[in-house]
Amino acid sequence: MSGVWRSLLWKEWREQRFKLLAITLFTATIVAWPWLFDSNGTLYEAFVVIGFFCILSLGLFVGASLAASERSQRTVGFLQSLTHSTRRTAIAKLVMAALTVASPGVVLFVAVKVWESLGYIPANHGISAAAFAAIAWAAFSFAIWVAAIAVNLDDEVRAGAVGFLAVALFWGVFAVAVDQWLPASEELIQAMAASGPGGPLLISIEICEAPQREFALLPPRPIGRLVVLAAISTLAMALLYVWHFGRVAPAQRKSVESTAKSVVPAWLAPPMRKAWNAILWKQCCESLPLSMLGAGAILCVSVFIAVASRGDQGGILRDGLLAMSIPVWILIGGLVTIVSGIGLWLDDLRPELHMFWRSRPIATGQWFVLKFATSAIITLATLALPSLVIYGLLTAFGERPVWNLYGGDDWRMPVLLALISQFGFFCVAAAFMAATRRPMVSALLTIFTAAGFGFCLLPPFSLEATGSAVVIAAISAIATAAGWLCIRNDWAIGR
Amino acid sequence: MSQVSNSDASAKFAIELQGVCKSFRRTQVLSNLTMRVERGKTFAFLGRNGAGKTTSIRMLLGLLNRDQGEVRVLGLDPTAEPLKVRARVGYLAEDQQMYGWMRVEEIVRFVAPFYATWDHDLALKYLREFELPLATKIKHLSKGQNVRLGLVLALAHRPELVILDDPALGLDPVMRKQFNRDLVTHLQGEGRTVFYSSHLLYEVEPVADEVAILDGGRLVRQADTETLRRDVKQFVLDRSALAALRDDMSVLELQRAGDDAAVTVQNASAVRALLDREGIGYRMNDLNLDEIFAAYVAGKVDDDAGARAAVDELAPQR
Repeated sequence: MSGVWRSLLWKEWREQRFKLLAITLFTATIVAWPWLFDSNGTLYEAFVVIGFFCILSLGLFVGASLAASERSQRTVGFLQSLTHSTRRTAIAKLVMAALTVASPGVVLFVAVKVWESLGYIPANHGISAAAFAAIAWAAFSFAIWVAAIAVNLDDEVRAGAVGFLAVALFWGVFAVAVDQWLPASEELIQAMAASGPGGPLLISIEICEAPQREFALLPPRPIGRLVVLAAISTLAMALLYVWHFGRVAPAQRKSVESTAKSVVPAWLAPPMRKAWNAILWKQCCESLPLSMLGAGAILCVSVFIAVASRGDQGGILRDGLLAMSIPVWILIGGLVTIVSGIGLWLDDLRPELHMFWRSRPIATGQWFVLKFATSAIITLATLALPSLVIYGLLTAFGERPVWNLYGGDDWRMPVLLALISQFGFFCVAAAFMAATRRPMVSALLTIFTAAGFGFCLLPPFSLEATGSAVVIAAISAIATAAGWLCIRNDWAIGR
Repeated sequence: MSQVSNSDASAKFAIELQGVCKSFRRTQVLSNLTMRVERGKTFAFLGRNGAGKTTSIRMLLGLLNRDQGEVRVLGLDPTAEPLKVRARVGYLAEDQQMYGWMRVEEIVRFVAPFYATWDHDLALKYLREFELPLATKIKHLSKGQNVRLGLVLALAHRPELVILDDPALGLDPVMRKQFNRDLVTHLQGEGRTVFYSSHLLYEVEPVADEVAILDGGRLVRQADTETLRRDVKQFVLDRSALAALRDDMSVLELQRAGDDAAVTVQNASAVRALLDREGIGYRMNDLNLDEIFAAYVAGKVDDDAGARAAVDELAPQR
């Protein structure tokens, strides 16, 4: 290996090693759970948690980091000034990203093998190494799609939002296409799914289902074609990412603007009246675009899924759309609130911007409270808007009452719990951002915290809805207090 | 030791530091720093990178707490009353960045309500004079426009004290000259106190009334610019004369110049008188601020004993 490659890989290793360690430890904690509490039945729940974690969250945040970490750290110029091509840096980044997303799969595989040898898992319930490899590959595929779509954006928050929206749209369009034009061709559907972001997950499903098909005396499905398609798709996205990485000219627009003779008007709009007014305005400008993007994604995905599954529903603008919008809101809303929580302090805590507001006669308490409350309200309210609009339309058109859909009043508690959870995500993400000042680390720590709480829903704790709400509220309060201390005292881990 | 916080001193001095020490973990950044800045003066705070300039400024703004000593800014303790201090101080940071998504007009309107004394007409006047485009986003401004916008935001509330931390860093020479011209026009003309931190000496030389040189967290000299130029001179003389003069010279820097020695001293009048009295031939060179600064912080001589040792080393052996 040449010195350049060694240097680049060393740099990536130094930047990513703690993330890698954290993800590995997190996975190890999850897989130790059934053993610690002697509850074998939770193995598959843990597997689902890991799978979900790998595919969606890890892929998203690793992809966002791949796409924008150098730009957000203002190091692209330095990379461009080096004697080697920025594409080599991109490849080194991909290698470390692959290691990062593969680590949970490796830990899980080792744990499952240990369980098997100890007799915890019946022989016919074993999960093959190929299935684990396919899951890790799916996570990498998701990350590389996000990275290729959002490469060279200004920061990880924007990259995560744009990448996620694009991936959500892809799957939404896929669902519609499947429903409209391809109902008969299962092979084509599979081929398209395998080529999409996170597509290798399909391969892992096929691998896991193979023993059942064999048991039912069904012929095995060939997965070779899916593997080839998924490989081509991953490679194409990797090439796209490597090709575009670092190819930015930040000064271009600047120089055009600065050389243009500007005419200063004779009139300047009056200043904002109060300090709180100014902080509110600033926070609205910062929080609204992301929240609206999230709400748009929720609406689009809900409509797509509802359209795709309209055969089983009573009509698009009926219970089908509402039924879809609520789980989509819970899922996408959760991710957007994490991004929004990180975005709350992302700009204000940048080293070069930090002094700008701190050196002004701004009361830190007022700054914190107004920013936090405004961002939380805007984020939660905007994200809930699509479901509320659909609910309003249903009510206005006199359609079937929504509570019938979810069985009496039972829907209220899950929705309330989802809302409290999203607030919890926001508080915890904001606190970790204030404490670490690193978006990717904050996102991972927030997911770890959420997953840690998720265990409280499993045996032996088995928290009920009210208990869960109380625990989430307590976590949110502790996180908010910790975030406040960090902001007030200008504390940060590792400074 | 006199209290620095008495009312007479506060009326006379904009900044007072008395025995200030600051460490970050085991690294001592400021060591027993004592200095005063008179109101209405332009004060150049000089030091190499890492000398402790930015740390001192952050203490003046109440952004860092001191370990020891006393700090008064406009008669206030910045640790106890940071908001009051910041309301009366205009600050422009080294490589100041602002929210890139805001337009020029928006950031002016945004910053205004935080200052009770904000003068919106004055802000508009500065914006016009600096030819700043109101509708342009900050991220699209050039470096020079960015610095000038920072200056508008630092000055439009008519601060009694303006603290500039290497403001012209990264500007090209033409822009730096223009920045200094703006500074002279808008600040010195109005009699404001300016605390100008820099390591680019030629930049502050034309505007500074008084100079303080910080090295390794210690104040090595504070004097008005003229006094400094008068006191610090370079003498080129025969090396054989050095040994005889060594106890009477306050040496900052000593260099071999062929058969001669070039000695930079900080008691030029006394040395000149001595050389004249002793009938020793010499050539005296005036130094600019750049050279004076280099003599203080880059010279090899740390104290009197070190100076004597250096003189002995350079003087020809008998």
